[in-house]
Amino acid sequence: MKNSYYLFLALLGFGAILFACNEDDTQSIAMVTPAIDLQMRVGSETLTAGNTYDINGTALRVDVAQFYIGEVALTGPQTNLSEDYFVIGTALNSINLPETEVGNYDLSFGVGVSAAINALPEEDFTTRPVGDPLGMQVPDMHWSWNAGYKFLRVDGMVDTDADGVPDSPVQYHLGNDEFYAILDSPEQVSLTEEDATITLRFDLAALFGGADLSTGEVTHVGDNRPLADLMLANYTEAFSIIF
Amino acid sequence: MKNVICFFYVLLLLGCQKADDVSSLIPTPEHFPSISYPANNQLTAKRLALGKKLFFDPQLSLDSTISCASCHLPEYAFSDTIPLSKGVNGALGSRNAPSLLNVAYVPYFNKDGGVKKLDLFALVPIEDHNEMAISALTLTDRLASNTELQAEAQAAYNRPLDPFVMTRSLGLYVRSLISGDSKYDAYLKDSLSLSAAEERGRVLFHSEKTNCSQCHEGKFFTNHQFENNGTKEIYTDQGRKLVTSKETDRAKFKVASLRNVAVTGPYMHDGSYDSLEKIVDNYNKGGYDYINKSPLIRPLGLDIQEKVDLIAFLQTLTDKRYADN
Repeated sequence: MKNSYYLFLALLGFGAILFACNEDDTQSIAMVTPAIDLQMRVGSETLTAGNTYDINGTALRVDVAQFYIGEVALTGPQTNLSEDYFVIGTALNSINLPETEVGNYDLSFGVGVSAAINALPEEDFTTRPVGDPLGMQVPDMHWSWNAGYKFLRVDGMVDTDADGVPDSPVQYHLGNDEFYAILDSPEQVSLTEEDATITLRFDLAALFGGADLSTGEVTHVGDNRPLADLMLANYTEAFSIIF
Repeated sequence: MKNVICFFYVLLLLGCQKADDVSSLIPTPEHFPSISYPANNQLTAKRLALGKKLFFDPQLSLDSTISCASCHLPEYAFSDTIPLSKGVNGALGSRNAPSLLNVAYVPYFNKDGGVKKLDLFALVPIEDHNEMAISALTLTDRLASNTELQAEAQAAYNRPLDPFVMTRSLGLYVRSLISGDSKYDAYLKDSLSLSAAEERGRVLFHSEKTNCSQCHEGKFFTNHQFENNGTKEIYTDQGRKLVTSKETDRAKFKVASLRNVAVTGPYMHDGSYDSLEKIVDNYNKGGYDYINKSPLIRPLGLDIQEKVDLIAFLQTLTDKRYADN
């Protein structure tokens, strides 16, 4: 009799657990597809390809400004690590991330591509289909002369004779593993059903903070390490999340 | 049972025949190592033929005026005759166009070693603004309507003529540019003797007096390392430092092979030396002082006869077959 009593209690408990599980299953967890919208800026101005801007007193016409974003990690109610890479900039300025729960998240993202991607295994960028961000791009985002990807590139014309008119072609290209930067948002981002958009601002003026472009100097990292290092050091100012 | 054995024997022979056929597409001298091919770019006749066709095709440049062969002239051992080659719209290249002969045995490419795969190297001149100046994807679009090339690409790689096919077929073609039939090679095979001057030059080349063979070693007359050889006092080209970012690599360049050196001038990374005599003279005085200059470069004390002998030996490294290609 006593055993039957315990068996009854056990079945009751088991049923309660099952019932509780069923109840959880019926609760709807709000899911959203986060998007990163890119704001291209030069200080307070909107950055538009083909326009000329004042960078520390030097006129710079920007024809191309783009970079790789990858390893976007959202850590909160869920851990959401995107394995995709995107080329965003003057040509493309919005990307979607994998679906995740609503909530507050820590955010980090990489500017560039990881060392593993950059190592160019046998199946390299030439084998990838058209449209794959890690495949060949126009303008190109790989270094044919120094196998690997360009993590960030800004191309244009700069004024070297102080008449306010850009006259000299310039390229500012960053790459190599040591230039892969993981940036963290200083604040959590809030993803709600109403608003799951993360606004990433890229400020070209901040990227060139402290740089004198009037000499027409360029950088492809190796040929002008000081300017490349300065640009990398400016990443934390140049890339910011807008709340 | 006897028939079965015969059947498998015939199969074995056929299999061997097929392998021989492929390797015979790029015959290598007996004293050269065999050539290795990446898994995704094995050698076939169709791939090789496509690469050769593209190599000589000026459509591979922005204004369809420059082909690979414009700067890598077959009659000059696939090098150029001017210090810096001219690209699209007369743009000057930044470095002297090297010979492509025996590039199949080179472990990395560009004078700074920045390109690690031969099958990607073609992108460098194709996309360089001072050379062919066209994006590989733009080039792909341009050639999309070329039915002949598209058919050849499909037959060779089972895919359209995209950057992969272009770079791989060109990679195979340049691998086929093997040079191992010089007077010196005949000497190595005991089928020809060197003249007295050439022999004295050979001994001198390999002696501690000159140290030439310390860097220009082995069958290919290069150790594939990066050195500064005291070519000049001031360098605008950072050389290997462009790749490594190390000051100790500034103005160091890949040691060039000396095979066919008599016909591949002008010389050095920027084509600033127009004769072997001037090079030997510079080495003889110990080269220009430079912080990263190789310690092997120091005054040699060669007299006039020794310099003549050294050059006579270098001239035995010329493979004249390429004048006919």
